[in-house]
Amino acid sequence: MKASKYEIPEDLLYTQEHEWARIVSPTEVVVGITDYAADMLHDVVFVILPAVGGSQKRGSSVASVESVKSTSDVMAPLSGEVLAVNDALAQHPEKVNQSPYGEGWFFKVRPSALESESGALLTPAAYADLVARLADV
Amino acid sequence: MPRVTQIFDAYGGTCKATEFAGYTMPLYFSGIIDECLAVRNSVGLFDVSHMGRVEVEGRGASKFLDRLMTVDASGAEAGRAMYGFMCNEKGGVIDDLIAYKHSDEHYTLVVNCSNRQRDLEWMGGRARGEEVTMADVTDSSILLAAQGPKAVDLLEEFGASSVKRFRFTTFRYGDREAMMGRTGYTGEDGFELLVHGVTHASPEAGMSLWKKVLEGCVAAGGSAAGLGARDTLRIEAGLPLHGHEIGEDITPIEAGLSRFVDLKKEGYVGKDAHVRQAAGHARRLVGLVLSGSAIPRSGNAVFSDGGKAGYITSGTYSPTVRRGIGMALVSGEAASGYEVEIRGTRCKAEITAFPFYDAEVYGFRRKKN
Repeated sequence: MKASKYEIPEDLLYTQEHEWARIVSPTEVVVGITDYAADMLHDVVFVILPAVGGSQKRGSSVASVESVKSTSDVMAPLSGEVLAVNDALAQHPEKVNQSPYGEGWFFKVRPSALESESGALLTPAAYADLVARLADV
Repeated sequence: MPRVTQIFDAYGGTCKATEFAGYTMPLYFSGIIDECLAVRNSVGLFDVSHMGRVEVEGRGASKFLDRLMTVDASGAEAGRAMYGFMCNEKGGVIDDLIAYKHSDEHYTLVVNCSNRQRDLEWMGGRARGEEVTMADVTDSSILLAAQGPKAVDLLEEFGASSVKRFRFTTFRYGDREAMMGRTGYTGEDGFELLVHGVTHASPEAGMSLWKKVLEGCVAAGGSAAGLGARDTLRIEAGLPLHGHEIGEDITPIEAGLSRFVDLKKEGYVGKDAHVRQAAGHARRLVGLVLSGSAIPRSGNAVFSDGGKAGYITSGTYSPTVRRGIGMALVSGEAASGYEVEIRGTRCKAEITAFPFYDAEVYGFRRKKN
C-alpha cells in the first residue's frame, strides 16, 4: 500500500521510529528503514551498523544513518542477536534511498522474544496512517 | 505563516522545501549531493531572494558606511562589490554583508535574511543626523545566484565575462533596473543577479528570468540548487555563516577574516576591539577533516591533548572531498591535533587550511583546463 507518495509493503511490520521488520522465520528477522525515513534523511552517505554476534534490546539505538545534513539513530524493532549486517552499504549507502525495503536492508536478527514483542510493532495499515499524518503537515 | 520569495511559484512544485528564517525555501531539487557537484563541475542556480536588500543613498552615504562597516567605502571605486562586516562596539559581528558601490552617494547592501530587521534597526540608530536615507527593497526585488565554472557562459548575455571578481555591472532587464555582481557563497566563480521591480503582486519578470536562466543552466549540465547545497558548498569553501562562525560574540579577527577588516581606516564601530585582537587573540577558527564515516555536526565538542578546546561551528558531509568536514572555534595550541566528540566517541581530526577542496581543481582560483 501507499501513504502519500511512500511505499509501505504489506508483508512487513513497522515501528513508530520508521524501521521495518520482515519476519522471514521465527529465527530470522530482517530490519531496515522505511521509504518515508529514507526520503526524510535524503542522500544517505554512511550507515553505521551493529556488530555481528552482538545482542540488542528492543528500542535501543543499534545503528545510525548519516546523510549530508543530519545524523539519525536506528532503533532495534525486536530484541535478539545480530546474525548478519548488510556490508554492501559501506560501498553503496545510496541503496538505502534507492531500495529501502530491498538492497538497502540494514541487519538480520535472531529474535529472542518474537511472540511477546511483535505485538508492539505496527501493522502496515497502522504505519500508513502514521505516515499519512506526518506527510500531511 | 512562512513567506515565500516572489518567484517561488516558478519552481515550488519541483523542490523539497524547508523553513528558513521565516521563509519557505527550497532545501533541494534533485538532491544535495547532485546539486553540490553541479556547482563544482558546471553551474547551479539558486533563488536567494530571501536575502535582505537595502538601498543606501545620500550625500553622507560613504561616510555612514565607513563608520558602520569594516571596509573602506569612501576609498573604493564605484563598481566594487565589497564583502565586509557590520560590528558592535565589542568587535562582534552584527552581520556580514556585501556593499555594492554605485557612487559615493549610492550603495546597495545585501544582508542576511535572519538579520535583516536587526540590521535595519542598527543602521537606523546610526543614521540619525547623517545625510543618508535607507530603503528596504527586499520585497520589490529578487536575487538569483548562478554559481560554478560555467556561470560566466550562462550569463554572457548580461555581459558576465567583462565583470571582474568582486565587481558588478548594472543593466536593464526589459524595463527593470538590474545589477549583476561576480560574487557568491560557494567558492566557485559565479554571479549574483538582482532585478528591481519584482513584487509578489507582479512577479512575472522574475519568474521568466528564473525559467530562462534555468533552461540555460540545465543545457550546460547544471541544475537548480537549494539551501542544502548552498550551506554545504559554503562550508567546503570555508566561508562563514552568521550565527555559526561569526556572530555578536565572535569577531572577524577570531574567525580568520582579517582580510575583510581595514584596520588602517578611521574609526569604525568595533575597530578598537579588532586592533586589540590583531595583536593576539585566544580563539581561532580552524578547518577539520574527519576520516571514515565520522561527520562533525554543529555543536560537537572539540578536544586537544589539553582537554576541551572548543566546538564545531558548522559541519557536514562534503560531496566534493567525500569526507566529514567541519569548522571549529578553538583556543590554545594542539600539538597532536584535535579530536571531535561525535555521539559519545572521540574521532581524530586533521587540521586543514580553507578551502577544504583542492583549490587547483575546484573553486574560482582553479587552474583552467
